[in-house]
Amino acid sequence: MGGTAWRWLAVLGVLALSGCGKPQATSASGDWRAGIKELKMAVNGNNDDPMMVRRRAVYRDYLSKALGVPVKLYESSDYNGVIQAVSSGQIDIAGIAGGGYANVDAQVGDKVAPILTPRQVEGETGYYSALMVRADGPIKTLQDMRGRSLGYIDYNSTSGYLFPRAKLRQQGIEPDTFFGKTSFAGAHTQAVMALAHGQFDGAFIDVSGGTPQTGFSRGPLRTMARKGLVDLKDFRIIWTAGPIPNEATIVRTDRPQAMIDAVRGALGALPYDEPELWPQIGQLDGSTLTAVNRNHYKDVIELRRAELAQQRQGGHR
Amino acid sequence: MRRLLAAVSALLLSAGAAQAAPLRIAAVGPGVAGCKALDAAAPAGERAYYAHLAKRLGVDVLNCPMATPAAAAAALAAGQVDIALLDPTAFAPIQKTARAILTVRSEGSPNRIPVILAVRGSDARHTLDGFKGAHLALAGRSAASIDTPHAMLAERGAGAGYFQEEVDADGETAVERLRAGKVDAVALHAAAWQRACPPVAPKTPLPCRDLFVVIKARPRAEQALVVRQDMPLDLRYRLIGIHMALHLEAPAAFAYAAGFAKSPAEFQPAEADALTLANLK
Repeated sequence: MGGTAWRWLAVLGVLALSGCGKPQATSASGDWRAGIKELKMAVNGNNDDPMMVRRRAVYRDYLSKALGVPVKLYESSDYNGVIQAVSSGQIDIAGIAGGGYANVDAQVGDKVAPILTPRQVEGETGYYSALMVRADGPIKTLQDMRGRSLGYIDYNSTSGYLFPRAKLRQQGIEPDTFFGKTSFAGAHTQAVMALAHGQFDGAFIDVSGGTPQTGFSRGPLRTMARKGLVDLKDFRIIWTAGPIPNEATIVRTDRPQAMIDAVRGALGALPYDEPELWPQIGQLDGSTLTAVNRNHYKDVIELRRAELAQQRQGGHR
Repeated sequence: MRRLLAAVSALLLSAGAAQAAPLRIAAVGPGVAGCKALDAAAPAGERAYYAHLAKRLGVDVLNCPMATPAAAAAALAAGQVDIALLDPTAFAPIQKTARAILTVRSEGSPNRIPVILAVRGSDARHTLDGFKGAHLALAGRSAASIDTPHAMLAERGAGAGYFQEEVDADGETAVERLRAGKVDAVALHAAAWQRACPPVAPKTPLPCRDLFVVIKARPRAEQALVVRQDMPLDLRYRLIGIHMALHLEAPAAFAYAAGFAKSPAEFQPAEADALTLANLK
């Protein structure tokens, strides 16, 4: 070994030793952000409240700052866009309804996992699907809807398709033959407007902030009424199904675990560290996020499985 | 020679990675001062907690015995430990350098919901002191509607008997009765307040501008996990994320870590001032 080599070894040794005496600054080993240019987050751009989609930019800005990595928001025009984006691994994080997650689970299993869901003030972690009709019409009960036209929301909507169909079947009603003409409105807002304009006799709309016993204080109809687009008195709820597990924040599990932990922590801390931002993303003040796993959505996953089986048997028109 | 240099460099670099600073946990109880690896004879739940944190953070997790919560707080402020479980008394002296990050929610308990105490804007009394004996409206019958406002007010010296209380069906009714002069104040949880005074209401741009918010605060936490304010954001959020899911991913570790709380259900994130009586912004 020549003198130059020994000098190199000595330098390396000094460098290594010099690290030992430094004051300790707490940090977790290995920065998960190394090599990650940005985090990709998908949201459904055609959700029940168009304002909410714009407000989700709040998520992007907050998360970018909290995680120290740029977060890019991908908006999909329908539920399926988010499902395909997360299933194919094109995006890292998504906010998605339970039924959508069930569809992702059916496609890629544990490659995607739910990590958070909203927990409301009174502790509810679910919402309801309401069969809504016009208050000035003759339809007052579920049986009155026999042969009538019905608006679903989207094939991948939990409250607007999956859950109410399953609950109807549990009550002995086959939705594919009980109703007359059925079609997809695309989103809850559009379904309310179509109902108001007489395009459907009834539509499945999500409602929350209460129970069938107490009444509901939240949902697309309430949001639209606050904006003066519709009048609450013009609508009537004749049937409900639920509670349905609230939407999930889902992540790709093939991403670094440290990233998943950081995302869960940063989003979980949002209502506490940035209380002014929390209502801006459509969340009710006083609500929070709670950790969940696949088990929280097992009923919805089972309903989706049953729906797919029914479809394979030619049950859906 | 090049191979030797490369091997030595790799060895030294890997040694550097392994030298990532450990996480030092203050543990109030008997023990020799100074941080060290958890004793192999420690209870299984405690070992599970340390092992889970070590695995998820990729660093050593050390146990730092402290004689009292006050000693733990002092050590935290001095940078000798990284995380400590503190109560309001122990936290008070270090609140300028430390912050709460996590509390524990008990089974069946609501979230730590902000409560709003509001009065008419025209009322000359703008502090809680001026309302002793006044008529106060609560809204709703749930724990979140009654117990949570009671807790927040009692912590500020307005316990049972301070107000003459009435209970309305909902926040909207309570606010209307306040406006009509039938009560002097309302105490609503934040969701009820938000419904009564929605921030987005085009027909009434500032729906509650005629009211004055005396207090907006969450009930103070009885205990919280506390870190220094200068802890790197990434580490703070990872700690929060790991703890939020602890009851799902490592139940034995959760039972130990949350064991200070009655019937623990889950760790919840906390605002920086959770151990104080500070108003929310």
